[in-house]
Amino acid sequence: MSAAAHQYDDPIDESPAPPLAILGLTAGYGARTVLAGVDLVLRAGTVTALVGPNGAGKSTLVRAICGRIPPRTGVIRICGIPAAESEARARIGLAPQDIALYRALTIAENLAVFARLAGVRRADVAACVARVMARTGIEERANERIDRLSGGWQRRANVAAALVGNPRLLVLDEPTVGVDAPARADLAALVQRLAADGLGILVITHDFAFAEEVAERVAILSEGRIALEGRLAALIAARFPNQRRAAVTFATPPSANGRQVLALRGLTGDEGGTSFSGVVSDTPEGAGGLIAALKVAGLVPRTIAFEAAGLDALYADVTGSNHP
Amino acid sequence: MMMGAIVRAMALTLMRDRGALMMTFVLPPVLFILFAAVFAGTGGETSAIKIAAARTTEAPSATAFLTALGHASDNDLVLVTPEEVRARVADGRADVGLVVRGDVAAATDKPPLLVITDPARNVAAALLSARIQRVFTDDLPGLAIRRVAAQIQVLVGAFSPEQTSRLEQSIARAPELVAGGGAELMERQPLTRRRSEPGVSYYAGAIAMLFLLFSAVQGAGSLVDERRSGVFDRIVMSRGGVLALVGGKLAFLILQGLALSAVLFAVAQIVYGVNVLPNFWTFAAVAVAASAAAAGIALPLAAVSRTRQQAQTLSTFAVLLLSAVGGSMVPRFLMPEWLQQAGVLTPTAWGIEAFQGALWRGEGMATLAPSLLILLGWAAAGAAVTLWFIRRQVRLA
Repeated sequence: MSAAAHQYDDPIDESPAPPLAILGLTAGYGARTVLAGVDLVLRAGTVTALVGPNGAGKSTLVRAICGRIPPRTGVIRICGIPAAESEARARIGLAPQDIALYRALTIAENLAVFARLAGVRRADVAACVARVMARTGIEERANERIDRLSGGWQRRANVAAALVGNPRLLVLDEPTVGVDAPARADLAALVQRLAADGLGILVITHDFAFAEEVAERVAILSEGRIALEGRLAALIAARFPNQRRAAVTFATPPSANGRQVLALRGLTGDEGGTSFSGVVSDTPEGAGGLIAALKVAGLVPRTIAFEAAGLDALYADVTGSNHP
Repeated sequence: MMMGAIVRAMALTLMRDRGALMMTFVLPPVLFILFAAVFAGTGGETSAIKIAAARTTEAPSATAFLTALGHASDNDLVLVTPEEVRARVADGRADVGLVVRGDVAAATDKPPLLVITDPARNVAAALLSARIQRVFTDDLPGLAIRRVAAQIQVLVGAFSPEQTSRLEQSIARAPELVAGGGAELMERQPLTRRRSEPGVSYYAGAIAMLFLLFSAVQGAGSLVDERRSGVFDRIVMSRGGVLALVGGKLAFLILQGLALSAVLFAVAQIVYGVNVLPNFWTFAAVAVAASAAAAGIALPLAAVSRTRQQAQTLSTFAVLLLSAVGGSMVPRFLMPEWLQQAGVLTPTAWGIEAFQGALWRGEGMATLAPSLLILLGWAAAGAAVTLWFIRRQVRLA
């Protein structure tokens, strides 16, 4: 047995250090700098959603957290241990974006394999697997092969496999890809349960609705830096005082002139060119002004809604884009 | 041992993939049986050859010679015209042509036998020459003596009547002399007397090496899939890390190779009487070393490949190259000298040599040690390169 092996029930870490602390991190590949000064602290029992445009450095940040890219400057500590050390990696549970499981093996078999690799003693593997399955609610499918499960169950198994080493920091990379609405709700409940158990959870996602549902805090990564980080409600209140989010959809994409009118009102479009959103003043004049401008421009919306500003508005405001 | 977890995962994956199971454990014995059927007993002298023959002489010796040659069971002889002989050799209906154009029992200005050959089938001409010699010594010794006597008379002058009389008496007794073995120039003494053919032993080893490599590259290819799915990330992040990943894969590939060798040589023992059981422990040692060497080739190839397609192409090229040069397809002693020397650089050649040594020559561990060490060296080097490459790839400390 490995000297590093530990019993599943033994707490791996009692230190008060946060599960993740990143200070002044710069990192990259060769001459290219991808992360240009990242500061991020994630506390136990909280979920932080990390969002950012493609190429902002999310994958590089995950690699750096996992000790796979050395910092050029700054530090990354996992429960107080430098990320490059194997003891730090042992405190991280990683659920990659793809279903990182042996597809021909059952859920239980996969968990047993990864438990052994995590250093769980052979005699304790069965108990560890049973406990993780109970914790993630996947016992009823324990003996089904991964390649015969639906996307939602595969995702839950993917998260479960990240828990076999009893980590303190759970990193979920795009956990809702390929998951239908009910399974997504189950996954959100699972993430919240795990946070309530004391795990620090970092969710890297493009799914704003999921992020708003599960995350207490949000971090927006843009051009290699954390452009904004904090409690979502507080960030919105600070960023958009007395403002509401306006969402307008059209049956067909508006003309160039119409798009210009929308842009002047602070609304940006999606890739399809039929949905526009932005923030407007939370007054009768704000909503009325937008409606009047649409009318003058001859734009006939299919739907128009005014609601409290959310993560998408925050994201658009910080990154200048509403395409996550 | 954390690498046991990798072995278990790979074993379960293989067992649940019927296609891979067939490829790994059924196809090799089937191909071995085919190869053995093709090559067993083809030491050369028992291969049947098609001979198109003609005569342009009315000498009685020609009749006796052609009759004796045609009666040999390993000759498929047909008598045609001289023109037809050339035509048949040219279009491949005959392996070799023969024209009897003089008295084979007399001294002649030019050779009485003309052999027509196709350069692509020179081996058939060599076989025919050997069989003509055999016909003269075994079936027509009188003709052979008469021809030699005629040539001696050309060199030293005519025999006296008394000498001629004694010669005729000897010629009359020639078949009796041959039957008693008194006329033979040589006696053949096979080194061993075994139930199996040496060709079968050779091809069991050759096919084993070929499929050990193929199954190893197939198994090691899982590394590419794991990298794509994220399983790789999960493993290298674990306490087991890269060492468990590479060690586990190496261990699995050795076990898989051992199982494949067991199946293949069980067939060889049962069907062709290859001496596996009497040499079980040396066979097992060779099988482990050969499987490890195959894994040592396959793992680095999988590690440097970014996609399954790339791994497939690279591995197929490497396996075919090593198998061709190493002697899995054609025995190395039939290759040009420089290629024989190049073969020494391949694990295939050492593996085949070791299997031959253990199963045909019955060599012990001490004699096999150099081959085994070289095979294990390939395994160690391959595993070390894979470890280094993956560590560099994932940039872990």
